[in-house]
This record gives sequence, C-alpha cells and structure tokens, in this order.
Amino acid sequence: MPVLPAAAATTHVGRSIPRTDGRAKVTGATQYLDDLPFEGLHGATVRAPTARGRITGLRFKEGPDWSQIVVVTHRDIPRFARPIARAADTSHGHHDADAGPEHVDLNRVALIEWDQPYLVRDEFRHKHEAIALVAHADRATAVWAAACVEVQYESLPAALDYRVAPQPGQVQHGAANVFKRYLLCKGAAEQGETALEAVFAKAAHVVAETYETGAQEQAYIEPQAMIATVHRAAPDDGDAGWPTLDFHVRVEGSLQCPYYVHQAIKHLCNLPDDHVQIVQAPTGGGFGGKEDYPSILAGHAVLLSLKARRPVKMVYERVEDMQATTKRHPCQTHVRTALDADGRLLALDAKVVMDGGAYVTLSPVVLSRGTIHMGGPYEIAHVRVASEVVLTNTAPNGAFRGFGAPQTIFAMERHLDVCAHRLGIDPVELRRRNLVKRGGTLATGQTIDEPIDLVGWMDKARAALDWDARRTAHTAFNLAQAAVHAPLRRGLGLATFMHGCGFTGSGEVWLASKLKVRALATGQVEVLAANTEIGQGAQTVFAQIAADALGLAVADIVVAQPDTDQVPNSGPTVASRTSMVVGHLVARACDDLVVRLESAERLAALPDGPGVGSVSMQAHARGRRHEPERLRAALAKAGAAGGTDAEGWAEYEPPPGVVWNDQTYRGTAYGTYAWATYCADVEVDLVTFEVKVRDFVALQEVGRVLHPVLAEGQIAGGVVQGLGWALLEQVVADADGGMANANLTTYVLPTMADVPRVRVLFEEQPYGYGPFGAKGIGELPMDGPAPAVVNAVADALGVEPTAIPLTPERLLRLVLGEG
Amino acid sequence: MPPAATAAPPPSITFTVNGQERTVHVPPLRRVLDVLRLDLGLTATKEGCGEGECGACSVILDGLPVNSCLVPACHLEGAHVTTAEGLAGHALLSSEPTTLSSEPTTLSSEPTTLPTEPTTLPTEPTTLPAELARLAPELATLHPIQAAFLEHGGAQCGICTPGMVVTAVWLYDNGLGKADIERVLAGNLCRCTGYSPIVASVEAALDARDARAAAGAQP
Repeated sequence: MPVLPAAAATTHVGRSIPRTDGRAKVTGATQYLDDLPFEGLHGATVRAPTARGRITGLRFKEGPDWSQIVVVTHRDIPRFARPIARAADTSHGHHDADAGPEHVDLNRVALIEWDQPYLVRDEFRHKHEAIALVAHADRATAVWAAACVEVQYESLPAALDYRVAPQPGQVQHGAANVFKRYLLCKGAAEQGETALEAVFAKAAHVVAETYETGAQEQAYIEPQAMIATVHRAAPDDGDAGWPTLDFHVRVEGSLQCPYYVHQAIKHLCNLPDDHVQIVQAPTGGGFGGKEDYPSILAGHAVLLSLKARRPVKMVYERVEDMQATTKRHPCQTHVRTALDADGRLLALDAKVVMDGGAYVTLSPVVLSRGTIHMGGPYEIAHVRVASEVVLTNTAPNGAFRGFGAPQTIFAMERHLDVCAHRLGIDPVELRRRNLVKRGGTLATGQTIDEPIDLVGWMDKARAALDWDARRTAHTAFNLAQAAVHAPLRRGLGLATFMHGCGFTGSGEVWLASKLKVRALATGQVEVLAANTEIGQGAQTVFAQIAADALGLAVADIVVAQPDTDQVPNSGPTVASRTSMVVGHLVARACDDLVVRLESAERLAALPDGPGVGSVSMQAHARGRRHEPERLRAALAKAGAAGGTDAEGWAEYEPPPGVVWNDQTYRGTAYGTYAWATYCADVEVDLVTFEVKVRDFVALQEVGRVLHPVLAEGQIAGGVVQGLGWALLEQVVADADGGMANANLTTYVLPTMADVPRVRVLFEEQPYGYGPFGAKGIGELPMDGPAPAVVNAVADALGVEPTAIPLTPERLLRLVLGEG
Repeated sequence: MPPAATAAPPPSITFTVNGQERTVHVPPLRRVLDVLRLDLGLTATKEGCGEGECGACSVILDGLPVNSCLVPACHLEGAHVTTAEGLAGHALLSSEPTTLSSEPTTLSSEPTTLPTEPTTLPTEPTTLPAELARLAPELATLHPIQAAFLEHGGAQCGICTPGMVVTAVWLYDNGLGKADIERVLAGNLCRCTGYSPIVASVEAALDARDARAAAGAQP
C-alpha cells in the first residue's frame, strides 16, 4: 500500500477553509428531512406500556375514524421467508429454526445479533418498545390514533438493575442475561488467578474502589426522522402483499450509516441490493444516536409505506425520541490496583459491568472498546479486565461518542487520583511515574511504536492552565473562604488518556471499505463515499484531501450526498474513522484516477523533476507533478466519455504489523491512538453544591490537523458533552424502567452559560497511514472531561466522588458522609 | 388529545414576515412555528423540542427573540417577524434599505463547491431573497453574524444554527456587546460545538461592528 507522504506540503489540508456546507447552514437553506417537500402519510407508533409483558390483544378505542387510518402490526410481516438475497452480508443473519435452515424471520433488525423485532409479536421487553404503527395524512391525527390503541397484556417479571443478578423469572437471555463477556489478560494474569494474586500479595499498596457512570442521551437537536417510498414497476393492484422483485424501496433519512440501514431494509423486505436505496438527508447531529436506531425507524416507515402504498414520513417528537431510542450504556467498574512504595502500578484487576438494555444491538462492540481502554495509557505489567454487558428491561443502550471508552476511562482516571490521595503522592507525579513511553506496552500487549511524549504533553497542558501557580492560589483561596465560613472552594484536576482510532483489531479488514472518485465533464472530481456529513465536517475534509491529492482547488471537488444507489460502501460514520480511514481512501482513489488517466493517455506524465503547481500524491511518490490546467482538461475529457477510465477506486488495506487476536484480546487493538491530557479548574459552592468549571484545557496529539477550525470544534463540542455527562445529564428511570425525564426541561443539557471557553491545543505528529498524517479525533474529547472535572472537585473538597453525574444532590450527600 | 376541531372557518391573520405582508387562515392557537414552516414554507426555523427549551425555533417577533413553538398564531396579527430566511440576500435583490447590515463579507479562501442539494422548490412561494438564499446560498450576501459563523466554526450540523443566528443577529443589531452574549444565547442549545466556536463567531462580528462604528465616529 502506498504510504502517503505525511510531511508533503499541502495547499488546502491544514487550513481552515470555509466548510463546504457552511453557507447553506448559516442561511438556513439546508433542508433537513422534515423540511423536504412531502406528499404522503405521517406515521406514529404504538408503544409498550410497561417493562415486560405478553401481549394478549390490541383494542382500538372509539374516537378516530379507523377506516381512514393505516395500521401495521407484526402480522403484516411474513413470519418466515425464503431469502431472495443470498449475498454474503445476509449469510450470518438470523435463521429461524422452527421454519428450517432455509428460512429467515423478516421481523428482525439486522445488526450484530438479530434478536430485536421491528414490531413485537408476543412478548415485549421494554417500556416504549414498538408494538404497532399507524399512519394518516394528518400528523396530529396519526399521533392521536396511536394514543387510542390500548395494548392489553399480562405482566412478566422484569430485570431493571444491571448491577443485580437476575432472579430465575427475569432471565431472558442465556443463563444469566449476559449478552457478552470478555477477559483480557496480560503478564501474570495470563497464568491465572493465583499468579495475579501473588503480585497483589507482594505489593506495598493495594487500592480498590467501585465507580459508576450513568446513561446519557445523545440529544442531537434534530430528532430521528425518516421518509419511506415504495415504487412498484408492475401495475400495482394495491394488494398489500410482501415485496416482489418488481419493487423498489427508497428511504431518505437523518442517519449516520446508510449501509447499515440498507442491510436492515434488504432483510426486512427480502429484496436484493439494488432494490433498496438509502439516501442520507442533511443530518442534524448524531453522536452515535443515529448509528443503529435509524434501521428501526426506517423499517417502521417502510412497513407503513408498503401497506399504505403511499410515501410515509416518521419524525419523532423529542419526548418519544428520548424514551424509545438508544443511550450511553450505564456502567459499573470495580478497580483494584497494586502499587509499589513509589506509586508505580504493578497490577490492575478490573471488573466492568455495562447495562445493555433489552436487546443486544451494538453492546458487544461497546463493551469491547471499554474493555480495551480500561488500562489507559499506562505501563502496567499485569492486567486482568473481566467485562460483561447484561440485559435489562429498558430501551437498548447503543452507540454514543466514545463507545464504552469514556466509562472505563472515567473509572481508571478517577481511581488514579484515589490511589494518589491514599499514597500521599501528587496525582500528577503518580501519572508521571506510570505513563507509557515509546516501546512500552498497553493492556492488550500492544507495543507503542510512535514517538510519544505523554509526560511532556501532560506538563504542557498543565502549563497552559498555569497549574502550579493556580494550585498555590487555590490553596490560599480555600483557606481564606474557610476562615470566614464562606462557601466557595476551588480545585484542579486532570486526566491522561488515549482513544483508539478506527474499528478495533481486525474490524477495518472485515469492513473492507471501498471508495470511488470520478471525473466529471466539468473537469471536477466527485468523491463518492457512504460516510455522512453530520456536523463534524466530513464533506469539507474530504474535499480538502481530494484537492491536495490531485493538486487542484477545493472548488474542483464535489462530495456526493450519500446514496446507496450511487456510492460504494466505505463503511459506517463511527469510531473516529471517517477522516483517518476513509480520508486515506479518498487520497488513494484520487491517485488511482490520475494513474488511470495517465494509462489511458488522457494525461501525459510530465518528465521527472520539479515543476510548477501542486503535487499529486502519486506523482509526488514518483517525483512528478501535473499542472492543474492540464489535469482539469484530462478530467473533463474523461468525465465526458465516462466509463472506468473516469473512475478511481480505493479499498482498505491494513497498515503492516497490525495483528489482533479476537479470542485472547491480545495484539494491536488499534493501528494508532490519539493521546490527550485534559485539565479542569473548578469552583464548588458549598451552599448550592453546584460545580462551576472555571477553565478547561484540552491538549491532544492527533496526527496532522486537517482543518484547525473544524478540529477545534470537534474537541470543544466533545468536551462540553463530557462536562454534561459529568455534572448535569441524568437519565431518571421510572418504576417500569422508562425514562421519567424524557424532555429537555428536566434532562438538563449544558447551555452557553454552563460551560467555560474550552481551550484546545494540538500536538501534531503525522501518522503514516492517515491522509497527510491525520488520526481520528471525533470521540477522544468525550473521554477526558468527566474524570478531569471530578478529580478537580475531589481536589477542591477533599472528598472522593465515585459516581457521575455529580449532581448537587449527589455531592451534598457525599459531603455529608451519606455518599 | 384529538386534533382541534375545525368546524368554523379559521380566522384570517395578517402579519409581516421578512418584510413581506402575508395573510394566513389558521386556528388562533396554532403555533407560530407551524404557521412559518407548514403554512408559509419557511423551514429555516426548526423544531427541536416543542417546549421552549432548545431555541431551534427562535424568530424575532416585534423586536424580541422568541421561541416560536410557544407563541400562538393569534399573536401574529399586525406583527413583524424575522426568520433566518430574512437575514441574507437583501443586498442583491432588495432595493429597499434594510436595518440589517449587508455589506459584502470577505472570507479568507476560495469559493466553495456548489451544494448538491437542494433542488426542489417549496410548495409555497417565499420572498425572493429568501428563495435565493435557499437555492443558491453561495450567491447570497451574508449578515456579518452569518459570515462570522462560517469563518469561526459556529455551525456544525447546522440544525440549531438558524435559531442561534437569529438570536445573535438580534444581539448584534440592537447594539449589545460581548458581555451580553452568554445571557442572550443561553436559551439556544447546541449539541455539536460546545459553544466556544459560537462565542468566538459572535465576538468576532461584534468586534468588527464596533471597530467600524469607532472608525465612523472619527472626525
């Protein structure tokens, strides 16, 4: 694989060009799903009334004119079907043993395990689970009709607390409701329990503590939204039968991963690839919340559209969105560490338990990332991380920026400060003695072969906060406040951490992402990728990368709106992979296009040696350059002619030396990591118990920064989501496991008045396998704020908070010793 | 709740939106948000929560920023409303002087690519500048607040942006200063930016405004 010249001079990359979708956004011209012109029906959902039960009937109350309302239940989905599509991507699908191996149950959402139905057939597993769908031309009538369907049921025992082992009647998955377990062992732990315990027995200090983090709502400001349209080529007799090969199903929606939805709808409709088209509409935020749930909402819209033979739009109201869709996994982490007399970490023994909710969804992968990140950026010889994610009868938890890592990083970073306090060592000094150095190994045994300087970067972040001077000032301030019985206390806290870029282990190899660029008759180049612009700036960054790869201007690049009829599957927009992994494909596909133009002799290669104009990546590797006007002319000619000569392709190839063992969880978990130190300065009011974040420094090494303004925006946005998770955002459960505060009045998001100006600092060490040296940055900023700010509260008050959100009520109880 | 009965013909309500007089026939308790989006096709104003918390539906109503999801249509009679559609594009197509600053902005880089969307016309005609801003935003002249959002990363996913921009423009046009930013914009939620880039955007616009005012005041 060609290694991109990371240090290559760039014209566009590294500069903050105006984002390509920016003008439409600041003028309000961008049309999101609910802004699109629409003629059709509006759908609404009938939901489960309690945590778990068996449906005995549906009663359609008097009021709505039911003859004018389309109703869909599980009975409208054929129970068994012989799959039309036998493509590789459905071969691991759910086979229904009752119907024989050749038949599949179409009423299953295609994800990791196909255990979740689109519509409940018999037993519902969480409050607000979808049971039936209704549609009407008037949206208010549809919503009213849904409320007029009474679900009759017999209650079943529900498991509501993931921290408590289930009673026999509550078991619904395997022997003990465990969806997935991992065991990661390093050093003595590989020899077994006894060997690991021997390390603990000999240690000068053993520190054990339990930490908890709460659920968190993604709270994208645009709720989930989808339009489904079913076309039939043959004359439609209006029969509401299941799709046949003369059907074409089109879904447009607010979503992160077009090909996830594509796979789900292909399975639901039992149609092959080219009969299902998924188009991403401009999307008003995702943060993981539009990774898996859109497959369900798309399915619901399709089901209604199939029955109604009309386009159907479904847009959730905020309350419904918060009640029914995924959240961050709550997590409890037991951490036990062995340290020598100087505070060097000898061993880590951790047990991680996450709340998966009612169906498997993405939980095994979330748990995987949490497990791998548990050990943090520390050199620890002996590590055991045992983790599990369990079923509860609550809405499934799913993807949310950070994807399991923030939970275990909170536990580890909080725990290090607890260790420091118990050993009487400064938390900074404790980290200085344990941070991994180049050549050292992380918990998976992965050797770090990057020129990292974690201690130096930590000191740089502290210097930016003026840490030492503020420490002295805060001590004086706190003494002065205490002397006059005044209520304010100040403290400093930090977190040192890393986030693995891209899919874990061999995940990117399995994804085998493909990307295409094509020449247009205008002389421009169009980038065709499945990766979605959801605010992070993917469209802009792709244009920058392509422009520099070709030696052209940004105006020469067009980035296509993701549409599965047009774009190849370049993988999901998740896992901090879009800029790094897919951006690399953009650059390589551009090179491929130039090479094809040269071989087709539409573009004469210039003689070796320096010339004028920008440098194409491929040409750079060969010491040649193409003059932009000649390249544009060749592109225009190829674009007008069309065909394969006008296309450039790239497919993912792993960097050399990436070896990962999915069974033992040993090896190169990620091709590279982004590294960070975050520092918080807080003030606590001992009357109101509010925590005010006075200042926040976020320093990170992220490879080459492709676009400073966008990158800073990613970091600042992630930091504030992290501060919300740490201090404000509390999902309150009602008696049935539903969300009691499913609205933005009582689920409190940070406002501009709640947060400081985030000071963002970058260290740049170009990474050889990202475009122009870039690493992934999207999730990293979610990891550090919570431990940094809670460590600062611990510093200010001399208490040890172990659970977030650290609401005033929780902090009050802690200070009163009721914690 | 069943949908509101519509036995009697809804009353007519006449008001001015983005400088143009409009008459709608809607139930008096219909939300202003729905009048704008559904009856007039002015979809820049968004619904994020429907209960006055997120500010995505912010518009300027008779000189004050309001959450249009909380205001019933009966308040519109004779009122003047400005939505995000009313902020850009005046300089190109409107011969009337406006109170909004509309001088060309200078951005540091080359023109951006044309967006692939939108391509369809709204069902209801809107004012021409607003239509221009929607169909060809690259041709519209931006309000200094909009230009600053573009330059300083004030917009990410963009869904809160029209409401945020409308509120910030109100602050800008009413002569408020940097000290007022946090108080005025705290009612507009953004989940993407962490607010720092928005504050930076508004501050930059206010600095430029004040610098121009200071220069203009020179003898």
